[in-house]
Amino acid sequence: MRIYKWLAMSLREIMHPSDVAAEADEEMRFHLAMEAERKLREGATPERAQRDAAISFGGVLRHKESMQDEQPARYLVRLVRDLRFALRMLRKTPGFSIAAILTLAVGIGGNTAVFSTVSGVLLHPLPYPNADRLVTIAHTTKGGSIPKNLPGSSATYVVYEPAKSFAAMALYETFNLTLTGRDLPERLPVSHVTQNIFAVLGVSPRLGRAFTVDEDQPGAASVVILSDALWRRRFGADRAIVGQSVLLDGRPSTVIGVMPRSFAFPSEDVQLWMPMQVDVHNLEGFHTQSIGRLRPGATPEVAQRELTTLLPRVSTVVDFLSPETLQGAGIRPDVHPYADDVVPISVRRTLWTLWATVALVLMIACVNVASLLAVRAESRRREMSLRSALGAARGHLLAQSVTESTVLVLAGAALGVALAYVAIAMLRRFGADVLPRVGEVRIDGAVLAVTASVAAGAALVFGLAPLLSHRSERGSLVFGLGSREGTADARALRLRHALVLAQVAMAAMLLVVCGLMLRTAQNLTRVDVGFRPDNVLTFRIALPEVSYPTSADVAHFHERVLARIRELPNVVAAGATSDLPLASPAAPGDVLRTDRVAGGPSTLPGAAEMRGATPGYFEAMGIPLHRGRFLRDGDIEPASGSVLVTDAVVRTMLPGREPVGAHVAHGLAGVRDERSMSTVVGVIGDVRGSSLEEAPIGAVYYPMETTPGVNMDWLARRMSYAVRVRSEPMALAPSIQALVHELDSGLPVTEMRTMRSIVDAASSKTRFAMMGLALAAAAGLLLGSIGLYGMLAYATSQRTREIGVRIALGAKPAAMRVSVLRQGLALCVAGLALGLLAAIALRVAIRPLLYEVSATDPLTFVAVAAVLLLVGTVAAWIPASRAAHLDPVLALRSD
Amino acid sequence: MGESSTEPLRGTIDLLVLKTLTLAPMHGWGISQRIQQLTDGALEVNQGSLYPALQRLERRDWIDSEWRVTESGRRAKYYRLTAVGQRAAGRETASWRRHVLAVEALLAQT
Repeated sequence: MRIYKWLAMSLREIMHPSDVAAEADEEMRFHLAMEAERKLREGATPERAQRDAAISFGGVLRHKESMQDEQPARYLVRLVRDLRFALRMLRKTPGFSIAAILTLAVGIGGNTAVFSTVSGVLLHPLPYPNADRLVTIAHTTKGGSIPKNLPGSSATYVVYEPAKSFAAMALYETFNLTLTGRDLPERLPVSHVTQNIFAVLGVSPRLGRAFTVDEDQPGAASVVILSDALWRRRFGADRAIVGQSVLLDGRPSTVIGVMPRSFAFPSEDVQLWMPMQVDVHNLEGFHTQSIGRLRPGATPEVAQRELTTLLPRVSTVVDFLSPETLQGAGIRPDVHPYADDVVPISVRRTLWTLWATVALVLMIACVNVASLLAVRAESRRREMSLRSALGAARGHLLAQSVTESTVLVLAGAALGVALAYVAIAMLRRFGADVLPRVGEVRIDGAVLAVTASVAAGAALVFGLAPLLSHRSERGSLVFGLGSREGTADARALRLRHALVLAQVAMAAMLLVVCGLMLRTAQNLTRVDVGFRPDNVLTFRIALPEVSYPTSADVAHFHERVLARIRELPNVVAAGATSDLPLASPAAPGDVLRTDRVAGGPSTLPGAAEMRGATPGYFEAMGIPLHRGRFLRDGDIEPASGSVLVTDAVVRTMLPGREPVGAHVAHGLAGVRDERSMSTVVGVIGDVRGSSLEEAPIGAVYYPMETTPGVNMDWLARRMSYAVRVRSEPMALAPSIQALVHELDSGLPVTEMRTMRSIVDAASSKTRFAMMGLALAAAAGLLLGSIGLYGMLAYATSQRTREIGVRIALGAKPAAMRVSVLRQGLALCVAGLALGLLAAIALRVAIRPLLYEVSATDPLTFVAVAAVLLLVGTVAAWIPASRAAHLDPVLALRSD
Repeated sequence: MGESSTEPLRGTIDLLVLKTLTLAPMHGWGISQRIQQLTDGALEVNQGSLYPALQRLERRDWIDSEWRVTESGRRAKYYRLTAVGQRAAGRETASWRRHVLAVEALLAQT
């Protein structure tokens, strides 16, 4: 009841302060009237009665004020009054308010968006229980002909088993498999895992069960666990799926479980998990990823030392890895946090840089708003002096000033957070290819807390800063003369100069970083993709098993289509492949081994992509032949075992050997099995397969479905065609549609596009990553120039009187122009020098992010200097010419 | 103390107002007059402390206010004791008496 009363009164005082005041007035008036009547009754004259009543009553205002002090919500009331005043002031100068709010919104929004990304991708622990105990078990080598970094292996899995530092260890390896069934065949990344992987990670299936030890034995019946996404998309979230059979690469596999939605191991694109079925009698070298869970208390260093003592035993379980081979390669265990692998170092660096960039933008924004406020504070000196002279408490002026800046910052922050929401929605939608863990990026409490504290700090600083320049005015009744002083107050001048300097320096740094990034992006779009993308039309045809049951049917269909296409006018060459470069997400390379040569280097396996191609494909794509020959029609004959390899395979796996005639084996089939070996008949140039920025990994091209020991059926069922034409490629599209329709009317031709558009799309991924930086650069430049112009224009207007006096005393207008210009440019050059020096100092941090561009790239530095000087000149020129055309009479009269 | 001996002791104004209002609802000026009459002019309530006190008491829900027309036809804000105020007046009175007795006892000793 009492609370209710209190609230009702407070609410009324806040909502209707004028009603409350009027009521108090009326009460006072009534009191006075009654008092006067009483005096009258006592015999006083009416005038005297009035006067005495008034005297005995005392100051009406004071009474009202002391009543206000008894108001329950007096602080709130005062705050509301300040807020109203602040809003009125901001409405009076809409240009200033909008500029300040937008500036802050850009600064705060950018920070919020990037910080939530950093927080989601880098700072949050991985979504596994005790994720800090998960480590990757990898190996390092001394380099040379073998990669510097090697993963684990089934051999080390067995050999490291007794290690006491680990609670459990597991292997995993991801391949693409083709899921067939009622719908069109679909190639999906499948992770082959040892059965204990779920125990290591601490996650169980949401439906069904995990793998058993028996299911992980070689030769056991095939079982599979589905991802939540696949289960929903392909199987309509049917709970009865458990126990049913699906076809993977044409082989039946029983579904035993479905993982929870959040499970994204080893990456978000993996849709299926199958037991690896490690054969202890046929252990492998170093090509399988290995993850372990440390026992509580064990550190990666301790674990690594323990594994080092166990490593030599690998020679006892794998006959082709002799102690000499191990030693010669300088192999050592490398145990590091698994989290480091989930987000690669390049992404970490990019994110930190991006954060540093938006932090710079925020700082520029803050300096900008601070200078705007400082300028406005100058123009309100009179008001403040007057209020101070009339007895406004210093504390209250301060509260008023902070309230005003808080309103600005709050509006800016609200708009900024809204911007950040939009940016993050876009990132989650389009950024999945460029950023790991993007699904975990969100604006959460922690992010908002950081934003709020940044905003609070800004509000306080902005609110207090302008007041500092008022301190000297307190008490001296200078509101008449103060603003007419001949020269600007030296302290305020220094402050303004410092602000301009800081702004230019930060803008310079920002522009250098972003300029270098843009050069990097530019270099990436100029990257040699390894083929000639112009004048090539591509499309895709998938052949369902129902109508094309055998490999021969599939091969026959492709041959017929290609033969018909080659008859079309303007066609130069045509072929088909399992994977068009840059068209599909990065697939992990498959294990590739080469035959041993007597006295040759170690035969450690490497990784290479497994691809299918028909004769004519390389000619159509314009991929150059470096040795030997291309595939030809005869290679399609079964058991020819002819393959092409790329330069990268020769470089890493066949160094110092004649590649043509060498033997290679892909996949899990052993090298010792002669039937599974293929013979290299030619070497072609490297092709950027999955992304523009990564150096191409090796690839082996198989002439479709014919290689013994390698099941190529899944490659052949879903082929992409490449057709090189003499004219505009898309003009050929209708003829091809018609041609395929003629051969099989039920077969859709999909993804009809030019190779050029695929390459452009791939570089747009890079552009997406760079877009943030470009935006930051643009925002920084814009804010910087506005700030620079504002400060210089203001500094000049402060000198109006001085300039007027000088001109009146005979100074030439042109000289005044030079003087103002010189002042502005001097500041600009000093800030620029400071910023460029800082950028040079930071080169170590920037270098890893760049691609074929030096961290002190002269072109970038010169361009940044030119842009900033230009902006500075323009910013100084306008006030300078205004100064030159000053009418001394008006100037002397001006404030 | 010496300068205004008719000013009530600090802190007693609430009690005086409450006590006055137990007789009948009254407006601010009436309250001040009543206090003066009842104490034969010994106590005079300053307007500067009367109105804040009324506001304070209303906030505590000890009194209630309402605009009414006086006998002379003017609009005035009348204050009235609430049930809570009724009980509070009793409590405050008892507490004041204990206080006075204690002070008396102390003064009698010296």
